[in-house]
Amino acid sequence: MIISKKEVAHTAALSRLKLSEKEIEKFSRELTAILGYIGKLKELDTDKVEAGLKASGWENKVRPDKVLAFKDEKKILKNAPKTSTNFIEVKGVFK
Amino acid sequence: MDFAKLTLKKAHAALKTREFSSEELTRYFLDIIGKSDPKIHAYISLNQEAALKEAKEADKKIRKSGKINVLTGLPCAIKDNIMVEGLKTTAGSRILENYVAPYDATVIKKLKDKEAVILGKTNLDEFAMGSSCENSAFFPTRNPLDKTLVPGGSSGGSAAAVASGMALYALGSDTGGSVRQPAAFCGLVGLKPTYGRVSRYGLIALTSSTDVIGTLTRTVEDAALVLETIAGDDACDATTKKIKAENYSAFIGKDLGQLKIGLPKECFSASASKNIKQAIEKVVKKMAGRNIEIVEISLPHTEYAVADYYIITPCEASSNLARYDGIKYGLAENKSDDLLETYLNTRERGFGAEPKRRIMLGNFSLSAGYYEAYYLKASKVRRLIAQDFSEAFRKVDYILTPTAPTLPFKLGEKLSPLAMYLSDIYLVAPSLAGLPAISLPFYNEDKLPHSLQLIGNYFTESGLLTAANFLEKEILAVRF
Repeated sequence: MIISKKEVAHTAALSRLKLSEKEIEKFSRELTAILGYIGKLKELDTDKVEAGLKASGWENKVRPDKVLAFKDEKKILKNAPKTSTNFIEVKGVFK
Repeated sequence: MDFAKLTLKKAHAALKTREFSSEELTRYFLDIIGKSDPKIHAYISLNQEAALKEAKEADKKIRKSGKINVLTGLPCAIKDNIMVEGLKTTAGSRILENYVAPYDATVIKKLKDKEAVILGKTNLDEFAMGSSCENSAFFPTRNPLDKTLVPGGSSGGSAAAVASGMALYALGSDTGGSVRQPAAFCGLVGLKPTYGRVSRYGLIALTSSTDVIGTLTRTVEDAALVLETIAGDDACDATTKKIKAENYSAFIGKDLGQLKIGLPKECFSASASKNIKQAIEKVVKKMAGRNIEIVEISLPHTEYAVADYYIITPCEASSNLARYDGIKYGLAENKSDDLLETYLNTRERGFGAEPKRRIMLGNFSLSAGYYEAYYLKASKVRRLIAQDFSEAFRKVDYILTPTAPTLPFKLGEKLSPLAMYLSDIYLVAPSLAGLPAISLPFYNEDKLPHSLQLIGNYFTESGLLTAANFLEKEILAVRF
């Protein structure tokens, strides 16, 4: 299977990645090679296999939904590019 | 005393008998880092002032009462994807270049509770994606054993720091071999505990279903000492298990009993280079001579493990990296009023080639029309890989493989992405299954260290460490 430049550009847009024409070409080549290799999984019949690792004893762990206060929100806000009072400032979503 | 070759046990004993102080030890390490690191580039940032403060605190404790924790006052290095409050945590990426950790990871909290001294944060492949440390956005790290070689990755900075005597031990993270492979390339012991044995709270996520925090140390006993400090259930990481962390160092030197070790025939086929296979064969022969039963086993899905891993991990990575958007933290290219432009420009400048490649690979594999053929298929094959191990552990106690198919490769050798992925062949299957594994160094005729990987069943770290210590002391201690 060949991953076309069009598919690469579409995936990049969904991934919020801006790629140059050169990068699109490179990824088209590289993804084709990598997914070509990964195609070997098709050799295996997995119709009756369940997905995931539940059988190995990995089950979900639950706990009471108790709120714990984070004592120093200033340290979190300091990492935000734009803040106003105690909030992170976000750009408008709708035009 | 040669500080560069100190084990934790020896250093602890020397602090207790006041042969030297933690401050002296810490100053020595900071001095050596100043001298050696410009040639090795193991550290991204240093924690000089706080480290000396921590050392002085430790010395106070030692003077007050002889009773100290085994890690008290001992200097360590931390991979830069693990958060230490107040220190920059970059994950080796431009997108987090100026990110300051607002809290301690659980493992760091546990180390600090035992008065550890944190020297600094070590280099890694960007977001822990890589096997050579060359994918760091800042600089490549060199292998201290031969500076023309890579130290391995992604915990290459942690491995180089310990191997060059710039820290007594280090923490790394292992998603598909990122502790074990650099340990192998730098001649150290690398321990990846069972998935869920050590909390990942405060570890920057790559592949949430395989990420584990592990240790890089000079000896197996040191690995046990660090593991018993950082292991355990944590309410902040729902994947940790309510199984009590054991006193792992107590299992060092215990009687082995009747030990059965499995050699998977698939791991000794064409994938390994000739000198790697020959070296392991010599080790196995010696083990058989010491009353260890060697059993040939089969892990039939081994040849699918790399393909499987490189679907699972990019899918999870693309989801985990979606949070870097220039809004909440990290790099922000937000000059435009347009939200989409902010996303696009931030991620374009912030991510290097490998994160972009994995985001693309992951989102492609998860997208409509391909999800079933790739992600769902890979999730099923993952179960088959895990079942191979469950079958094998009915017959044997531990499984032995090479750690890497070759000795360390040259810096700048520029392997293709696929060739780089294939160098993880022995490492990814235990990661996909969530099993504990340890990499042990040994020396053959080559100048560089060889290594082997010992894999255990779930939560058998104590027995795994007993066996690994026996191999280290009785089998691997000689040059073959």
